Amino acid sequence: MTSQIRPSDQDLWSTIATGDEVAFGRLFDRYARAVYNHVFRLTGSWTLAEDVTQATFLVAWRRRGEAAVLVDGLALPWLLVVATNTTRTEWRSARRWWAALRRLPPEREADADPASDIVARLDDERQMTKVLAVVRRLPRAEREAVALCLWSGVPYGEAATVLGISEGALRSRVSRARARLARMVTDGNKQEDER
Amino acid sequence: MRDILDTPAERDLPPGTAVRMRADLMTSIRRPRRRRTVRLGIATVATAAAVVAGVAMVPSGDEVQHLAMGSSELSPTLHQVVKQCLEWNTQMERIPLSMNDVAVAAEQDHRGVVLFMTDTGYFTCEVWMQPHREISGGANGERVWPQRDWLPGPVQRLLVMSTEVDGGDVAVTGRVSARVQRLVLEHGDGQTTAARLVNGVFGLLTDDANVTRSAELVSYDVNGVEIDRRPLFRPSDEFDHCYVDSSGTLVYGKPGADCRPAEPWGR
Repeated sequence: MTSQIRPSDQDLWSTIATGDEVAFGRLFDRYARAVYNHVFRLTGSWTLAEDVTQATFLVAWRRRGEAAVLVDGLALPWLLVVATNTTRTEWRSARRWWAALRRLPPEREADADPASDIVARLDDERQMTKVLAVVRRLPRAEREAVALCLWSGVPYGEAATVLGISEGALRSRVSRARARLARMVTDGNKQEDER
Repeated sequence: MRDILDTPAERDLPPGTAVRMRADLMTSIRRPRRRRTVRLGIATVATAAAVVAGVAMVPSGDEVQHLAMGSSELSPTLHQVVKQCLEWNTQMERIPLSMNDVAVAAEQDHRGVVLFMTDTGYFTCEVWMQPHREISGGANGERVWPQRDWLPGPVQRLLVMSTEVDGGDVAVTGRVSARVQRLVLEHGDGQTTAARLVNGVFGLLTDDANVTRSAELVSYDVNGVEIDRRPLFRPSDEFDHCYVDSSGTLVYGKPGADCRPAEPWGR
């Protein structure tokens, strides 16, 4: 009888540190989806999410010799912070819309996504753009705390470790973000009522 | 409150995309010096007008780099690159632009970089057109550019695209003042790439390079004396000093006591 045991992140990372590409592929398979969705929530663009996801894993490979990337034996919190930093670089300039500048050549159209999926993704982007229009008014640290802890569900302790701040400080950021957002909603509603 | 933080449901990577991305990653880590997978850009704020002409076959290491200095001299590939940039501009910025606004364009392998200058603004972009792959690239532009006549020192970067988060191969465009006779990118690993200067603007493409995060753009005057050195990847709105125009008006940076004269720019 044989049984397949899922290697822990710790085991995977130790193997990756030796230059094992197969293990790196498994790490990608394990976390690409989480990184992809995290970046989408930061940017509102599925296309940009693809690019930043790829960049994030390239950074992971280059830093494979570092043990400190694991938090409580998990790689995801660090990967999400790398993705966040990469996204931040991308959006530092307001007119950086390079990721939108893509199109499919004819030879790829055959295996392109079904039309319904494309429409659904466009709806996602519209919805996320509305959310981000509000959330981007938060200070960056608070915005990123919201994305990491509330949207991507990283536990406060793990997120705080990878951000290099105390758990209390991180909780404060999220709390302040919630308060600010509540004020924004209230103010927005008042303005609507006055019209 | 709940509504604001509600985000769309999570999605899988599109199946074809996931497979291709994974394959690209594997290729990248096996051949670290030919990474062609990720395009990252840093852009700037500013520029001005004109048209130029001329084309050259410029040796660049073992490769041949095509350099065009005007619409009439574009190679077929650069013509495609320029058309793509114009299309993106139409989709995104809608700055009044035409082929005639090409100030400098450079091509290497399957990629090209173009800087358009108009009477009031600029548009610059990089295009990657690998066979059987998505066309991708990056761009930046300003329809109206209040600082068009002034530079924050001898050189101003307008676009940087890189293959990696922190370097790799880069494509750079920008402009220089009249006293800059030579502009060199020091990669940070001992290697250098010379920019092509054309009437106050420049384009630069590295090939199979390992440009690092500490890379610097270094300007030299007519006597070969270094007159300026600045980090390539510094955000475009960050300066060591503030800069004022001839009337003393602040044109770059934050108000401060150490403002320097901005350098005039013209073509």
